[in-house]
Amino acid sequence: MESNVKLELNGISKSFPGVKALDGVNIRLRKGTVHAVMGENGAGKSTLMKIINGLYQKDSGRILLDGKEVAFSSPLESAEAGIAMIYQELNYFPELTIEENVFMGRQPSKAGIVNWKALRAQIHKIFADNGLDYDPGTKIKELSVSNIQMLEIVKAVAFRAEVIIMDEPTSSISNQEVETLFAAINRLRDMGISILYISHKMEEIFRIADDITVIRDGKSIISGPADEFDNNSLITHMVGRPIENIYPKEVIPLGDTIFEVKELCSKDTFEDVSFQIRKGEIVGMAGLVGAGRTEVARAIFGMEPHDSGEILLHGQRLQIKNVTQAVRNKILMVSEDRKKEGVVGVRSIRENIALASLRVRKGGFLNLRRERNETQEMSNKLNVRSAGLETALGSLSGGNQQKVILARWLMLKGEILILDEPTRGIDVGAKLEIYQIMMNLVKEQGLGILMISSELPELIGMCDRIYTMNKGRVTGSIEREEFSQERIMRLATAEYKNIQKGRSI
Amino acid sequence: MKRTMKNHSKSYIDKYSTLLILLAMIIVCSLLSPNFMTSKNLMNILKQVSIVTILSFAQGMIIISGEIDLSIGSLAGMAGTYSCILYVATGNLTLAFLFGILLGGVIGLVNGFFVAVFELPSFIVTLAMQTITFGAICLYTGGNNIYKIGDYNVLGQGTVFGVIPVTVVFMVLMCVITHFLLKYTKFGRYIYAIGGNKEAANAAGIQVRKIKWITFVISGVFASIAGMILMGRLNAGIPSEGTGYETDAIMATVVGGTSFSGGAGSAVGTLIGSIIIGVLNNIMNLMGVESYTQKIIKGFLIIFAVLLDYKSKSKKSNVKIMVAAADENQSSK
Repeated sequence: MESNVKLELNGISKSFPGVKALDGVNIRLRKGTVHAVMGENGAGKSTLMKIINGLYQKDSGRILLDGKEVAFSSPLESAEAGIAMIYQELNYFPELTIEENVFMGRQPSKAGIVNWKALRAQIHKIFADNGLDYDPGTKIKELSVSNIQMLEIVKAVAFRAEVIIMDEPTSSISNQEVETLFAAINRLRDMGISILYISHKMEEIFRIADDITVIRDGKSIISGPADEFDNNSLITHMVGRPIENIYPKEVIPLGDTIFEVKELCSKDTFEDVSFQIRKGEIVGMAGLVGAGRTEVARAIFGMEPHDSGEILLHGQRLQIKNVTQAVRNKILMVSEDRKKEGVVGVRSIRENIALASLRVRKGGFLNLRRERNETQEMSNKLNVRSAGLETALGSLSGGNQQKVILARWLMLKGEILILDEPTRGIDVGAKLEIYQIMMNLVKEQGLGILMISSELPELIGMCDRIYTMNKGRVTGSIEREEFSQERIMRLATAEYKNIQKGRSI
Repeated sequence: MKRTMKNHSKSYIDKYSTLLILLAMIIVCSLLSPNFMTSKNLMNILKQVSIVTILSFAQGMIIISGEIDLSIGSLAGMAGTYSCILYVATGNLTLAFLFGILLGGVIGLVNGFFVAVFELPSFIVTLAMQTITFGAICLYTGGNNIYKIGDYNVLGQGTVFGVIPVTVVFMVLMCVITHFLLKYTKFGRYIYAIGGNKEAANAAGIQVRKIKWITFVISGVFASIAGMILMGRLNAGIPSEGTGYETDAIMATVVGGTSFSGGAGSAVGTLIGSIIIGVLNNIMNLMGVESYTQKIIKGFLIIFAVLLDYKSKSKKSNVKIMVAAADENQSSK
């Protein structure tokens, strides 16, 4: 058993000024296995990987490679010892070619002059050995993230890595590309390579991990074979408190239909989109990326124009040509791209919360005292964690930024709230808080919520009804009692014309 | 708790860093020259910076909103000179003054139209407007100056209570107006948001185009007021006199802590920035530094000032991120 351990971390600790990032972390990576390291954002995962890799130096603890203690002072040293790192943000030179990138820093050369002939021969052999059909002369910027990932993996193998560290490799690739990646990981495992896989996504962990270690607040909380964990126990360990049910869903009596979209069309993106939302209802919108869900939401919110169709609130037709009109009509939306269309990073939390609801006193001047009180109250209510209301919003974590954006809309009395991927890129704890906020909104204020999400479990967990879209058309509607992943996926991939013909699907 | 206290005093220093620089400069200058710390000299400095400062308030608001206005200098020249012409013709100072403001507003309206509605880069539009406005005044005067403007010069040379120059009164008044606009009106809040993140401002329901447009109109009006005071002080309508003031205004705003990338800055900061440059010019004159040398020194000092500001800002945001992370760790425990 002991000889089976490829890489062992023993009591690794690391402090930064003011923060103890790691506090006695233990991990045993077995040879030829995939070991998942899980934890919320800020738990210390990335710091740990950088210590193994030699980018950071540990304060205390031991790293054992094949039973021998090692200490790397740079990524180059760890690479020579057979440890390869594939970063979350892939670093490469976009304007250079594949071959130049792969051999960056280790070009075969003589007296400083690169031996291109030897380099090309090597790269052709590497690609042939690994069944990669890229043209080595292609510029990196022309490759997709997934392509580059594959390249990184092949590169690691070619340079005889025995341990590969992957930092959130699926954070920016499509579902299909995830499959390709997992196939590659399985191949690596069969070759006897050990993989340290960092992630906070539950679903994928159980598919590929042999062992799991959970890290929280810089400490390794628990370690063991993957089949000893399940979704709930993992979340409990990651968040640090027991969670009976992830989704705080309560089925509440719904009111009348308050919002209706009739045959909304926009050239090239969607056609004949119709749906309704009742008072207090959470309506889900499922579909593949590119199905047109976001485009429909943006049209309703006045961010993009639409060609024909009607948008009705309480049976009255609304004219929405821009966001201001949508907001005036009590239709609010949280965009999927928080950084681009939500956060004003250089301004304070207070100003960001107050932005859509500035209070004016007689004479037209802002009532700053009222603003301070109200934003403070809202920020407490939504549990925004920060050093204070005057902190720049840009310095907060994704989850807290999202809460601030929600707070901005909650300052207004809205009727319809559109949430486009509301939990994208935020950690589990904050996700749960967002779900709870949604539930409070429908329960206490009787809002109607349209929730767009690519995570089926959260749609199933939170919604009363789910519409599916495919290729710009609504292909189905499912009630809560009939929710199932299979059913939703089947409708979300169904062809509209088949449904029209009444074929059973 | 201790950390928050420390943080508070730190942000206090950050907030008043430009003011501290100014105070330090004043102390050093009073040691360097006995003539510096006299009330006459200090008033002189204020008088000298007043016109550029008014332009800086205009430029400051534009830069906060994430744009730039290169036309304000020659617009000041144009509006000021036309106002002189009208005064000479009618003898009605109020009418001449209002006409100047109207001209500034119209030019701002045109700038804003192309920038806000057609979404052209403000750098290009206002650069073009620079030559248009200069051409538009020279076309009328044939490039000549307007002399014998009579009592028009009260705008630049008059005093209030016999001691405070009218120009300084204008400067303070414009500072108060700008401060209130930025801090206590929806408009002010919106331009910070637009400059910080235009897309997010739009998604929050702010009418980005309208606000941008208004900003350019205000900039034009401010520029025309500066122009009229300038002509009053020169005791003549000189079209070419405003040209180049726009870059001085940019310097003052940036030294005063306005972020060139938009979303941050203040009226008081701009005022201090402008006075810093004024003090610098003044002490170099008092010490007999030759004028070309002055330019070189001034240029380097401005780079230095911006560098200081830039460094302190990037450090500050790092600290804030770590504090937030630490708080988060603690509260989740």
